[in-house]
Amino acid sequence: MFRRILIANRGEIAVRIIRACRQLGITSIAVYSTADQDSLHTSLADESICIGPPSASESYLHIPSIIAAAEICDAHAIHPGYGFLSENAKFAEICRECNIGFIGPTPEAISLSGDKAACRRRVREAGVPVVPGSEGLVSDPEEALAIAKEIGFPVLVKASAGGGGKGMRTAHNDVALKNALSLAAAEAEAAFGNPGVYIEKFIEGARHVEFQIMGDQHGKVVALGERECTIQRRHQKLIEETPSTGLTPALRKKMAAAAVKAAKAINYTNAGTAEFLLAPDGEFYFIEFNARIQVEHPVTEEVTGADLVVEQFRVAAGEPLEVDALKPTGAAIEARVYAEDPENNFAPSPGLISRCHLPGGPGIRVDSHLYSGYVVPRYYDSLLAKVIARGRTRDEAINRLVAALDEFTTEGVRTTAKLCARIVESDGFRRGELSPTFIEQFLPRAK
Amino acid sequence: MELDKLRELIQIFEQSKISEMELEDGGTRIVLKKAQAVSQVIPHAPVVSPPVYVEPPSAPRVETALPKVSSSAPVSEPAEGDAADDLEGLVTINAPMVGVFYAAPAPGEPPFVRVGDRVEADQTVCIVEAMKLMNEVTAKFPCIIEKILVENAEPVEFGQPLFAVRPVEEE
Repeated sequence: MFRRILIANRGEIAVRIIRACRQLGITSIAVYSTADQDSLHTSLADESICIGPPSASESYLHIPSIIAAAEICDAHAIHPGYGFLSENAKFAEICRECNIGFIGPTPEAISLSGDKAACRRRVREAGVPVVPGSEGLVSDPEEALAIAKEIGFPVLVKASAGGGGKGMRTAHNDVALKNALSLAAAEAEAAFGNPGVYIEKFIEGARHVEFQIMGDQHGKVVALGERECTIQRRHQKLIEETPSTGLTPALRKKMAAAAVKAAKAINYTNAGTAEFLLAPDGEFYFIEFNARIQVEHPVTEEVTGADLVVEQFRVAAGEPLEVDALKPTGAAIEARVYAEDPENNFAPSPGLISRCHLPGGPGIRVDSHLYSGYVVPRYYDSLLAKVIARGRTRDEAINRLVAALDEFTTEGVRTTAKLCARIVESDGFRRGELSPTFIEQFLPRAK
Repeated sequence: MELDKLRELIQIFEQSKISEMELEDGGTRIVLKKAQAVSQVIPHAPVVSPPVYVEPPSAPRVETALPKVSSSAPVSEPAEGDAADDLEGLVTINAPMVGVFYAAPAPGEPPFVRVGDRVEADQTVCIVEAMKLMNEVTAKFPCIIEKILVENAEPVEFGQPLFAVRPVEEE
């Protein structure tokens, strides 16, 4: 096992990884930008090293600085967390060349899951259903029209290198499709430096269900249950839960098997997620593979008892998987608390948190880097905390989560905590009737 | 207040993240302020809560710090933190990246600069190696090297002071 691990990230996930290190007696090494000098991960780690100015491109995304820090501190491995360099195949490759362990999948698996058109093809060839659409990349409008005619409107034009809703356009007719094709390509070029786009059928009212995957270096791959992530705004998840209210035991089994098949098709190791669309008619389709530990991983941990970050360490060090046949029990729901003002169109709300109170009690887990006196920097992602509630039943988890979110206090900074509480306690959520437009429909009513 | 208690208070204050505190205790009033706290506020300075907010009681704190920041914003790179104590009037040349500090272009060769040397703007003063890339660090203005603050082959962090120098007026 690695004895010294460098965490190439910040915020709550860096704190989460440091805690896993502590538990195993591994020396944790934090890297930080000058804007994060007083951040919790900087002080909580056994060692810390300043790697650059506030701008992420010159610090958390700057590969030479991260590698130099790892070499100076004699780190045996790097955990990239999520975001930043976590899905950068070049970074994983450089770690390998420098003989530093990379706690994540291989560079080859990262490359393949990042090339969504290629990944889709590979997974389809393995016998997993994918959303009907183009074989590969599409650039010719006539070809795009022919595909759309075959699969039927509306269609989605998606960037092959995409993520976070960028380079994605919906088209309901011929003219809109021609426009969408060039717009999505231009957006993809600007955001990812790669204009490649492909076409998928737009499945109305589909739920977003993902399966947690863990694979070791000995060819073993397991699926650790699903997470329902349908509650999103601007293609960003806000509330996640397991089990999904949209799955029957039979369907769950079928999807889990498909998730394992998809992971094996791209030779996946370490923690990852297979994402599916679940259509209202019960059909499911693979959409993409996320080659990282995900923000919402605690939901799975709470019902299985697994420590996914510890498993990541073990698997990266070459040890066999130990999470086989874990039986999920009860329900878990996570709410993401962002430093954003829901009453002001989700405007960022950075600044000093003069007083901070994090909830607790039975079944409540808070993953956060907050403390009283912390100044939320304006340079990075606005995620402040994840509040996860576990219950023997979904209703119990809902009640605990609502109470916890109402207790959550950050004086000086606006957050999404109370909004999440109102969503979770709403009749629609309680009934488990979730759709992609849930928040859009909910927001006007909440006012 | 007893001297011991005051000493303890100062110690706690120094280690804390607060920049200013005021205490009244039995007729004694003590105000503590941190000097470098002003520069720490800089990265977050533009964060001023819009006036439409009703709640945040803490916002004025940040706001009152603002004028100080703008009026005392450093023109060049001032000596910061610990280094400032015995290096009055000097400025520092800081590491532009995390890496390993090398005083000379190659092992066995004479160093780029020695204490007492006068260097010109854009003259190389040392190398910081990151990922086998030798990054030359140059002086931004003509100056005299007063002190070398790190050892050869020592790891340095981003922003760590490497040299204390005395700026020289250009003739």
